[in-house]
Formats: sequence, structure tokens, C-alpha cells
Amino acid sequence: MKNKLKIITTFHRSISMSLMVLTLFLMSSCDPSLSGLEYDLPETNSKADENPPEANFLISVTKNYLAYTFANSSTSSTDYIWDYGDGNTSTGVDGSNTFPGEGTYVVTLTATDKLGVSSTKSVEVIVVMPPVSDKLLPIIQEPGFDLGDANGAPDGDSRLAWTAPSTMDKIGTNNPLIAITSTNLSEPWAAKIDVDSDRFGYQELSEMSPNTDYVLTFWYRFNDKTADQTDGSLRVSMIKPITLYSELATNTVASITINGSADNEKTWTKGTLEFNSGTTTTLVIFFDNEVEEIALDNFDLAIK
Amino acid sequence: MKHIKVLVMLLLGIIIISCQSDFLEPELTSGVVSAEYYTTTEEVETAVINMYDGIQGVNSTNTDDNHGIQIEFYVTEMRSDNTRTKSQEGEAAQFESYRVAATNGIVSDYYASFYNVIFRANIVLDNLGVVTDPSKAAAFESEAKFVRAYAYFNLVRLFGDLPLVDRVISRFETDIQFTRVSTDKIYDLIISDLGTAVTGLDNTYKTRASKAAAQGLLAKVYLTRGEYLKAQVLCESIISLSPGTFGLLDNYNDVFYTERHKEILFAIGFTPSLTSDSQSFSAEMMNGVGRTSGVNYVTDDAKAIFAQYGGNRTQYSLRTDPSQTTQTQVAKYFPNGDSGGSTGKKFTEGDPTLAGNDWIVLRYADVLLMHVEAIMGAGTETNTDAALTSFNLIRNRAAMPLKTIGVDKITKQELLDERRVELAFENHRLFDLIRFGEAESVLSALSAANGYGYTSSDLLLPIPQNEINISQGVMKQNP
Repeated sequence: MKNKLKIITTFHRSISMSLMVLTLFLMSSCDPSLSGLEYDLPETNSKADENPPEANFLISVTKNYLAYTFANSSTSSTDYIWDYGDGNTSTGVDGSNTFPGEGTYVVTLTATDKLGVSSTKSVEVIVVMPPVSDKLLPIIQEPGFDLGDANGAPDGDSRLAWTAPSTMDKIGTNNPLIAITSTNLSEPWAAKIDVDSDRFGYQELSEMSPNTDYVLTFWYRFNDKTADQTDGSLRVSMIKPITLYSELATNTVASITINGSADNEKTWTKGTLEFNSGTTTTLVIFFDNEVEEIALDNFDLAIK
Repeated sequence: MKHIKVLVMLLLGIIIISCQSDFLEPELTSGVVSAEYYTTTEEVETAVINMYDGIQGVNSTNTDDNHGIQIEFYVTEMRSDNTRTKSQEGEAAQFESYRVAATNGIVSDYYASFYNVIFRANIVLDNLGVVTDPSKAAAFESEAKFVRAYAYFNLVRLFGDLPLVDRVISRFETDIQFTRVSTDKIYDLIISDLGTAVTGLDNTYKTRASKAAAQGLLAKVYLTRGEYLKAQVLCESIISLSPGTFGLLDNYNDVFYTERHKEILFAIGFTPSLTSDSQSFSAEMMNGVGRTSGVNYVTDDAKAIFAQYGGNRTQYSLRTDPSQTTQTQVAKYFPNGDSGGSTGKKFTEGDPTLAGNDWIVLRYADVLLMHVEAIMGAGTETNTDAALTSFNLIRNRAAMPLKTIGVDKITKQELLDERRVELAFENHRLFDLIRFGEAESVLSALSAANGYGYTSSDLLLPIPQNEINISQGVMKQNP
């Protein structure tokens, strides 16, 4: 019996010892500070994603200015989330969205591969209604020669706006500047070119729309100074910018030549020149005369 | 013993004599090493001709050969809404259903062909130093740059970003071979190359580069880039050439069967019957005449458009397949003009797979329609006289109603439709759709109607898988 008790005691002691060791082991195995017993995460020693995804896409607008398509050009990815910045999302390869209205939206593509690695690209899309007409109408400087010449007014000189590059003498003479004369048309001054003069008017108009029909109107009069039977002529042209007078003919886009010889200096007539700007966005208003004195006033440019 | 001494002496004598350098360094007469070949102007000119030979491709069944332009319709026209295969099977059918695998052999054939053309052009540029006549050197340089630009323009529109090879590189320069640079950089090279070609060439040739061909191609590049004014100036410089230099033929059918005429700006020349200089695409587009059971067959969609806008072009552009009347064939390229009789398979002379029809790359009608497109620019319509005039020239030949100048206008959709019927099956349609910004809507509608797998990433072909593989991870695939 005594013997039996001893056996039980020994048995108990060994059980409790084992339990204590086990508890200690369990406790210590949960302690990550023991280096040998750190967590073995599933990723440990696995290879990094050598071809991580790279999100990218191209944006194009359709005929409807609110509707956009987004062509996916991401690499190494299989799954996609599109966020259009207006509350709409989708998960297709390519994206498309109709925005609620004008504004700036941040479109974000998240491209993910099957390893769970993802890449994000965001692009601002500015949605604006296209302008109804994008035709440009250049402004003519001093269309009515209202500043007069240097003698007449302290605040400017109309002739400066109508001066050609210095290389462009008409027939080798050196003063292409037009003259300024008084007028009864509507304003105090008009342009004037004398009988047999080498002078001409030249004004460059930049920022025209290509392939657009324009109408140039102006008022003119002849002054029959020589009192002969020969008609004079006035030429108004739209030309491409030139640096030499000899280039005039080949660079003329449209031109009108008006023949006339009036005794009455006060008779004004309206002239019209229609032209298409073609491939150029810069054209020049050019005018000169033959034989008779001419005067010009009130140039106006309009889109046909 | 004595004998041996004599023998040794004799042997030594022979050895000494035989060591004369003449015996050991013979001049090679049978083989030419490329590094030492280009020493004269004539030899450089062979390299010039060799570029065009590269575009022609090899008329063979060997998949390792470069077939050049002969397989272009697969990667362009069959990916548009114009054509498909007859059987809807195999590698060729991947194009129509927008399920092109990176391992597709036709794609890698086209890619390799045109990089090979670029290599050939770079060879010319590399050897210009030996050309003593400066005008010849300038002409060769211009031709090489035209060809290089032409090849890159095709590749960049099909594949997007690409490795930029602007000189002969060694096989160790893998960074150049496999680094894809942005399309902008590639277009910079194309535009600069074509600029050189425009200044350095005249209009002597039809099947080699010419000034007008360079201007026309550059106009198309500018249209693709949205630089409409520059394109318009170039088109107008071709249109304003003295009458007779370029113009439309009276009969639409003659465009394709009387070759190297005034409507052609640039064509790839082929000669019938010679394996080395003939083409097979004419036969491949017929049923069972070539090596396939009919590819590049006309879609119902294209047929309907022809009924509406084709005019007298329709009869020369397509026909009912004689051996299967529910199907429609392309009729523009019957082998050597022979339609194959009532069955479409009986040819009076020669082997139809050795046909000699030239492949037209750029013709005057295209320039006229590009002119309209340039004037229209970013807008959706135009009523400009110059545009209406160019448009009417095309309409007039097709016996279609003309536009009244000063009254009517041309819409973008009308221009796209006109291009579709005028230039059908000439490998323009896909690029037109993309350039006009209509690819997305047109191709997704086509895909939905036919159960294809189109997504907008299909506008680019996959980079051939073997390129990706040998790049060892440098080269990235298209999405």
C-alpha cells in the first residue's frame, strides 16, 4: 500500500513536471523575441514578384464630348479596377465612361496581378464642351487710319501699322510709307497714295484660321489729278508674308484690281475682297496703285 | 642513312618553300564578306535594291522566311471590319476575332520582316561613305531613310512603343534591341527621315522611293499626329504638280492591272512566274487557289457599304465566290488579272501563287482624300471649295453624285465611308478607323455582332513572344 502510494506520488510528480515543461514551452514558443521561434510566415523565402504590374491607359474622347473611352495599356497584370472620379467604377479590361457634365475628373486605374501586387495610375480628365466655332478673326490695326500721321497727332501714327519689312522696296526706292489725308467719309483721316508713287500699304494679320472663307471690305476713291483720259487703278490683295517685292505675284492668295478715275474727290465706293485662307494662318493686306491718286479708309474683316 | 638525310633535307626544303605567304593567304574569290563588300557606288546600290527586296518578302511556304508585305493584309485589313477568313479557323482567324496570341506566327513574321527592312536600310546608311558622287550619296541616303520611315510607320501603328534602331547594331547591343521607346520618339525619327527624303529625291521611280511618295507618306504621318496644316501643305504640293505627273486613271479597274501608271506614287513591284520576285497574296485571297481555303474574304458589313457608296467601284472590288455563292471574295487582286474562270480555280497560264501584281502602297486617290481630311482637320465637316474639289474627283470616277461647290459640305463620316470603298482591301481601313477616332465604336459593335473578343487594347498587336523570350525579361508585352 505504501509502495502503491509512492508510485502514485511519483506518477503525479512526473505529470506535473511534464505539464510545467509543456506550459513553459507553449508560453515561450509564443514569444517572438526568441529568434529561433519566430513566426514562419508563408511569404518567408518566397521570391519577389519579378514582373510587377504597371498600370497605364490611353484616353480618347468620342463624338459625344461627355463620353470617353480608356484603352488599357498596363503590363503584367490580369485584374483591373477603374474609378472614373464621378462615382462610377468598372472592372473590365478597357474602360469607358460618360461623365455627368463639364469638370475635372481624376480617373484611376488599379492593375493587379495574380500574386496580389498592384499598380495604380491616375490621370486628370478635363471635360469641356467643344467650342461651337473655333474660327479666328484677326484684328486689323488702324483700319480707319484714325491716328493720322506723325505730324497730325501726338498720340501715334497710323502709318506704322501699315508698314512693310524694310527689305521690301517696291521698285528700289526707299520710302514705301503711305501718306495720310483728310477724309469726309466718317473719320478725320484716310490713307492716300499719290500719282505714280512707289508707296504701298502692308499689314500682317496673324492668327487666322486655316481653310476659312473671309470677306475683306474697304472704302476707296480715285482722285483724277492728272485730268487725262487714262484710268488709274487700285489693287487690294491678300498675300502670304514676303520680304521682296518681286515675290508678290507668286504669294498672292486673292486680289482685286479696281479701275477708275473720278473727278470728284469726295465720292467713296465700297470694295469687297473674298478669300480663303488655305494652308496659311498669317496673311497680309496689301494695297497699291497705278497712275491716279487713290485714298482708302475703313478696312473691315469678317468671316464669311 | 644517307637516304634519310636527303629525305629530311628535301622535306625541310618543301616546308620552307610552302611557307611562302601566298600559299597561306589566298584571296577569296568565291565568297564575299559583308564587312569588306561595300567598296564602290555600284555595290552600295545593290544594298539600296536589297531594301525593296526585303519589303517584297519571300514567296515561300517556309514559316522561317520573311514574307514582308505579302502577309500585311492579315495584320491590317483582317483586323478591320472589311474582311475575315472564310473558315474562321487557325492562326489567320485570330485576327478577325481579336484573339491574337503572342505566339501567332504571322505577327512575328511581319515584325521580323520589317525590322529586317530597317536593318537593310541602316546598311545603306552605314556605307554611304564610299559613294563618291555627292548627288548619288544624297539620293541613296534619301531612299534608305524613306524605306526606314515607311517600315517604322507600319510597325509603330501596329505595335505601339518599339525598339528604335537607327543604325547597324551588333547582336551584343541588346539594350537597343529590346528597349521599347515611346511612339513619340519613333515618330520623331520617321518625320526627320521623311524630311530628308522629300528634299533629296525626285519623281523618277514608282517602285523605289520618290519625292512625291515621301511627301504623301509624310502627309499621312502628320494626319496621324493631328498636324493637319502640315499635311495639307504636303498634299497640295503633290496636287499642284504639272498635270500628267500624277492624276487619276479614268477606269478604276486599270489602277490595279496596268501597273506603274500616273496614279501610283509608290508600289512594291512584283514579277510573275519568278519564285524570287513574285507574290502569293493574290492567290491566297481566292478559295483553294493559294495554300489556304480563302483568307481576306469580304464581310457582310463591307458588302452593304459598297452597295450604298461603291458606285462602279463595286464590280471591280468584290465578287461572289464561284465555288461557294454565300461568300464574297476580294476581286482587286486576281492573280495577274486572271479571275480563274467560272470556278475561280482555272488559270490559263502560269501558277497563280507566283503572281506579279504590284502592291500599291500610296496612290493619288489616297492623296486627294488625305487633302480633304487635312482641310477638315479636327472639325467634323468642311465646305471649303478645295476640299469639295478633291472629293468630287474621286466621286466623279466612281460615277457617284457630286457635291455642289459653294453649297454642299462633306462630313467626317462621309469621308470615312468614301475612303472605305475607294481604298478597300488596300490595308488602309484599320489605320483610318484609328486615325479618325472611330475604331473603338466601330470595332466593338462589330465584335458584339459577331461574338468576337474585341477590347481597345486589341488596337495594338502583341509583341511576338520569341522577342520577349530572347530579351530575357527586358522587353515588356503589350496589354
